[in-house]
Amino acid sequence: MTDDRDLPRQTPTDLLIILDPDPDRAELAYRDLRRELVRFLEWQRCAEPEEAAQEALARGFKRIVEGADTSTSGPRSYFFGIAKNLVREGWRSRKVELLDPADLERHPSSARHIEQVEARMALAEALGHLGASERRLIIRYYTEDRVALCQELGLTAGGLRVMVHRIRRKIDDAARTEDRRRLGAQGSAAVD
Amino acid sequence: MNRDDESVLTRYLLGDLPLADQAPIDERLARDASYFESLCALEDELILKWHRGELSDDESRLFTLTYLSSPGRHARVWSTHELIDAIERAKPAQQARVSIWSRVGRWFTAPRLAPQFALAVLAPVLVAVMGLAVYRLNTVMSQLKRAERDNVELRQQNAAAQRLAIAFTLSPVGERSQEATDGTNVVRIPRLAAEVWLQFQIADPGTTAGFDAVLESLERTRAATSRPARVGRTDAAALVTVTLAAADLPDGDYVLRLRRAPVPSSDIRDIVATRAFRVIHE
Repeated sequence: MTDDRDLPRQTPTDLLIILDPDPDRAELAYRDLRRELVRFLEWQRCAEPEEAAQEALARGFKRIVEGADTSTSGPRSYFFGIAKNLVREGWRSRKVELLDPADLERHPSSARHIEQVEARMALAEALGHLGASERRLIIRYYTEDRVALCQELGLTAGGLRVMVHRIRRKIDDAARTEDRRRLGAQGSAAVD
Repeated sequence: MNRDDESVLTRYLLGDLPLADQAPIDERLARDASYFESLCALEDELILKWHRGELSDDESRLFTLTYLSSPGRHARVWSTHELIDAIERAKPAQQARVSIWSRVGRWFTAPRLAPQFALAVLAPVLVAVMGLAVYRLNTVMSQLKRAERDNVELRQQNAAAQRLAIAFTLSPVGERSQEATDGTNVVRIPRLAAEVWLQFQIADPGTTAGFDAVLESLERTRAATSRPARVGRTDAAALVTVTLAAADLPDGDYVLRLRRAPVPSSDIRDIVATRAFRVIHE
């Protein structure tokens, strides 16, 4: 899964300018928006949040091209509104099927096993690339008493949670980049 | 976000909120990015709590129903599990990286919830220590003062010793009331004595003024010198005292003559009394 693939192909770069005037920041804003939409749609119990988010973005940009005005609520609220409408339309209708979290571990296919190993390696790499204070904080948050940690750092529980969430996002981004790099290297090797 | 909000949002995440209560949360999520981020963070913690078995039975049941039935959410649960594993593996290396000094520094600089307790404990200790210090200081000061007083007394005693005066009563020649050598008075002067008082009695001379004493060395080693003599009257007699520096009395035999002042018409001085004595320095 690559972010480049997630960008709507019919969407010209200048459309992203509604998210940020700077093209580089606009691309980052687009990826953040897409990630937020996926998560929002998960909370809405949408059956296919990734696809639904992609659909919401495509519809939104299409309407903007057609002249829709996003200045009142802002582009972010505009896209969230479309996502909410998608849920109302029926993206929610899915069959509830319980997945055993251990299944992936107990009966790994060789391909899945390789993916997991690579994901773990990417995660370890990403942790290693964090700054010392961030690495120390996330390690303590995940392994020590969180209440005591809040008291020690003089933070509220919510404040500490958000700090750790941001570090977690950095790790996810770095791991994804690392994953993509490995896949790219494997692809090159296969072609050779 | 307070605890009530957290509770409501946790129910939102677990799909346990009625639609009517869910709508305002959805609206705020759409317009408020920081609120959205807070909810993401709360979800991260919810997943962590599930891994740690910290959810209540009800929450745990809802979590299983909600998160393990959705591939997207399940992926998040799995990635958290992977992160916990990675962190557990990274922790020993991290601990090795943190030096003892960093830990001590962190311990000192870390804000704590119990400064009041620490102060409450420290305050009496400080007061006690300060009291003890003041007491010790006072004790030392008084000891110093006492030592100084002792020094002053010693100096005074030393000075007094240097001015030590010794009195001898001289008997008339021929009497043997004292230790006598050849019938003379013996004046034994201690080494520390500075003055020698030579005293003897005479018959009441009728006056106490106008007397002096002439000291003459029998060996003629020193010239005869005149000294003032104090005459004090007693019941029927008078006590004569002649004060001499101990250094002015080398060892030897002396004659002391008490003279009355001359009458105006004559230079002749009347000898009132004579005493002989021997000086021995010890």
